[in-house]
Amino acid sequence: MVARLRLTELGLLVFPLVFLGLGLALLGLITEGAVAGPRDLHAWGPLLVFGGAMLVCHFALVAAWPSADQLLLPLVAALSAVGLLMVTRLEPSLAWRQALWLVVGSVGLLGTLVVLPRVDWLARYKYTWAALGGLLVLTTFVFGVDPNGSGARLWLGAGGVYFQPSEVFKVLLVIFLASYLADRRELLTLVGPRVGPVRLPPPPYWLPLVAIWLLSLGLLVIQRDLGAALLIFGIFLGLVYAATARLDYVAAGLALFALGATLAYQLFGHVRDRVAIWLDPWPEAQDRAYQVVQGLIALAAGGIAGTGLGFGYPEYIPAVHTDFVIAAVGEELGLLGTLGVVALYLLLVYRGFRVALRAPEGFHQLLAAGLSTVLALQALIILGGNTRLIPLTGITLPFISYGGSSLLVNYAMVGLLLRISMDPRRSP
Amino acid sequence: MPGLDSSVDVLVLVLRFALLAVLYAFLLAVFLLVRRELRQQAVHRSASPGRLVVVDGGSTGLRPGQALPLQPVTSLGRAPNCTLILDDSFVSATHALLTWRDGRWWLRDAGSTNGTFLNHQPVLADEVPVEFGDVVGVGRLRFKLTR
Repeated sequence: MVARLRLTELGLLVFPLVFLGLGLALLGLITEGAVAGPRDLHAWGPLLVFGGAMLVCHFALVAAWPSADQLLLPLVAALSAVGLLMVTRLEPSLAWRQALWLVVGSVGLLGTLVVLPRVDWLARYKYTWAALGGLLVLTTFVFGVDPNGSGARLWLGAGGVYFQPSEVFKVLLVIFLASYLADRRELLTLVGPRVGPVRLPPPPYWLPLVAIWLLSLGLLVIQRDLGAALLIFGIFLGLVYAATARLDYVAAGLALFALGATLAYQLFGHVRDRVAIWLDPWPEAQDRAYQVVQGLIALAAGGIAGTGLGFGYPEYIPAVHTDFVIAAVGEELGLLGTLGVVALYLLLVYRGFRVALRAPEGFHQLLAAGLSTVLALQALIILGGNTRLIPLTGITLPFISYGGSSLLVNYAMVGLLLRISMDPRRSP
Repeated sequence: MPGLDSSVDVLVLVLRFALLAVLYAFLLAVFLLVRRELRQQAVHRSASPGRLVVVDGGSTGLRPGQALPLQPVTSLGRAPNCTLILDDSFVSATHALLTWRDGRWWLRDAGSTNGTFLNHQPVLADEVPVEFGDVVGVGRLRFKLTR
């Protein structure tokens, strides 16, 4: 009965809402000198909208999909609460928009559950998804716009609303790869010709895979969307390993990556820039490396417990609310805040892989593993980039960064995970 | 921030740390739930699997009465990557799957040529629950599931 009512989920959802409430109260206190009254819609609106959306999701799950995993939604809500609070802090004018995007995301989550009564349906049209994804990215070549001056035309826009096709592309690619590998997982472990130290399966089974991989990487590299290219490469490697358990494929993939990275370094000036800034940002601290250096300074200024929300100066970092949120978290909530956020991602990814382990068959398992890999890699790539662990590539921090298409797609991905987590024998 | 009196300062300080406290309280709550779940699973697992006892080994060279250990996910078939390799001409490469989930065994056919059977009834791609004492048929081979 308890599982049916999803009381665990409801109880855990209280924490993110309290967190956001305390944060908004603190922001009001330091800007206005007093905590906003309970009827002040301007101050509390985003909290009400976000809380409403989360509760609607919760009660819809109770009513229609009671056996779905109970920890996924609270973890996502916690990350979203951190994101909404940071956007409110950094760009108060965008707080309402972010709250509304979270509503759109929740609709995407529930919509995914409604539209997909059976996950198998996705596997049936795998080439359609792959083609659709490629087409989406191609359209940005022709119609792409660059609304925020990042130097890459990665968005499709209409009426002031911008949408980033590569966000959708990554999910379509995961669906394609999961179904392709689930069909051919045995064939890919067969032994065929030998290339150096790696024994390959017969070429017809893996050539389409490599072709699509090269195509997707090429698209994104030419588009200068290096973050997405890195992400797609990681998804590819992760899923091939999950399907075949062959470490030599991973080694071969990493060798290819080294080759590709060297080529990209030789061919593209912007790749050389990124690497140079990563290796030594200080000579250009006022110039090309300004963003990275300001991010590092913000992280350093935060110390263990941070300067306190609203007491730091994260606004010195360009594009802080989209590309450098974690630096603002580090400055104002300190190392404790950043580690908390990392722990949230860790638990979310753990949960996703647990869904994969408990899934009934190949496609479901690989899909859940792939979606979890996307979330893990995306967090890793941008957190690593922000902290100068790896070269910086522009990619959103899932559920936290300001950005509509990213939120919508990530919520839809969680919808898919929830769907897979449901016990297939108990669902209608 | 200028112009704040001391009571506001105190409130700000309290809120600052309350914010972090709520974040960590959430993490702790999730962590405790996950730990409880993993412990329950560990209990299940130790109380789990059981063995397959050979009833009819066909041409595999398995003797009747021989006990075969089971993994939580056991694939049965002739292919070398199966958990239980059954080298018999009536067995397909990947023939059947036995899975331990929710405290019981589930059997399904993995697209075999000569069929998978539970107590001599054919089993299809949809999973069926298996009780201890049931006879599992793989092609012409027969095994009894025991604790």
